[in-house]
Amino acid sequence: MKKDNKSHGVQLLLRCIVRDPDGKIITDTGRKPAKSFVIQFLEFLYYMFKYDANETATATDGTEDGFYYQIAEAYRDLRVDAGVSVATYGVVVGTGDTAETNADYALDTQIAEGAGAGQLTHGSTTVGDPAVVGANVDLEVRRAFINASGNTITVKEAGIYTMAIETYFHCIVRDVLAAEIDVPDKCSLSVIYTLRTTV
Amino acid sequence: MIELYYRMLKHDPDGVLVKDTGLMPSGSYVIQFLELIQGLFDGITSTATRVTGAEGIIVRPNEDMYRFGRVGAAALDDSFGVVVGTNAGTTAEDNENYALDTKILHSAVGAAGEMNYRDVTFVAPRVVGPNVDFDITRAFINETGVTITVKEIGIIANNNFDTQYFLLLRDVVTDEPVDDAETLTVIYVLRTTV
Repeated sequence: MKKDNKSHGVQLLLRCIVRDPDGKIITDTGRKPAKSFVIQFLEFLYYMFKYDANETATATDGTEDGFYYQIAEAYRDLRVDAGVSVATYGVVVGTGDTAETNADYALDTQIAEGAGAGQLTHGSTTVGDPAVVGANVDLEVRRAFINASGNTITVKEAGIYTMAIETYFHCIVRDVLAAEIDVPDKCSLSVIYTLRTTV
Repeated sequence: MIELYYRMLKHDPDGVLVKDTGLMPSGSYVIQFLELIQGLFDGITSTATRVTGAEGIIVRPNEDMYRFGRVGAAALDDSFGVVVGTNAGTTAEDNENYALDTKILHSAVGAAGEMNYRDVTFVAPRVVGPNVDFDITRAFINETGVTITVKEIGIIANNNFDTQYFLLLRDVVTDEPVDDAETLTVIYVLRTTV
C-alpha cells in the first residue's frame, strides 16, 4: 500500500489514558507526537549495525555501563518488556518537568514502584507486533500504572528504559508531557508509546 | 522521531566532487525495521520477510547479539549494508517493500551493469547543533566503461546465524547517472531531535 501521509523517519507518538476504578475513562490525551528519542537509542543502532565489540552508554544512574553485548544472547540486549512491579525498565513515568535534551539519560524524577506516598504500582510492559495500520506501520509499547497511594499523583514525564544482561538500565526515550496528568487515588494510568513508520 | 535523510556525492576519477545532493528527506523505513526492534524489545524470536520474499528469522533470542541487525558490510560484499539499484521495474516505495527492485551487483572487474562496492563505514551518533546524527556511508565505483543510472538505494541487514538478509530502508531517488570511473557515495543520516 502506498502512503499519502508522508513523513521521513520513525515517528514516536504518546498517549496517556486515566481510568477510574470502574474502568471509566477520565482523561485521554489521544496520540500526541513525542519528541524524545535520546542519544542512547541511536547509539544502540550504531553498535548493532557495526557489531564488532561490546559497547557502553550512559545508564540511568549516570554511570557508563554495558549497553550492547555482542557475545550475549540477543534476548539480553535492549529489553523493554518489564514484568509487574519492575520499575527499573520498561515504560516509566515521573514527576519532573526539566526540559528534554538529546543527552538525557534518565527521567528527572522517576516515580517508584509501590503503594506508598508518591508511588505507583507498575503493571507489565507489553510490546505489540508491528502491523500495517492504514498508511502506517505501528509498533506499540504500553504499560499501566495504578495509584494505590491514597492521594492524587501528578505525572509530568514519561519514558522508556531498557535492560541489558539483566543488570544495566538505559533511557532511550524521555518526554515531558504537554500537560501534566493527575492520577487520583485508586485510578489507573495507561501510557502507550507508538513507533510509527510511513514510507 | 528518528528522522532519516540520504545524501549522494559523486566524484570524478581525480576525486573532484562533481555532484552533491545535500541532505534529502527519506521516507523509507520499511516494516522489517520495526520487526527487528520488536524482537529486541520483547526478547523473542521475530520473523520478517527476507529479501528473497520468504519469511525468515530477523532476531533469535538465544543466539549471540552480534549475529543480528548487521549492516557493516565489507568491501566487495553486495549482500548487505548500503545497496543501490536501477529500479528497472519502477517499483514505488511501500511500507512492505522487502528488497530493492533491481539491485546493482558488485564487480571488481567492471562487469556490465555492476559496480565496485566499498566497505560500509559509520560516524557514531554525536550531537550536531540541536540534533544527534548517526551516519552510514558506502561508496560505489563504476568501472564498466559506460554510464550506470542509480534510481533506488537502501540498507539491508544481515542475520549471520543462518545467513538471511532483510531490507530495513528503501528510497526511490531522482535518477543519478554515474559515468565510467566515477564514484557514487551514499550517506544515510539517522537524526533525533528532542
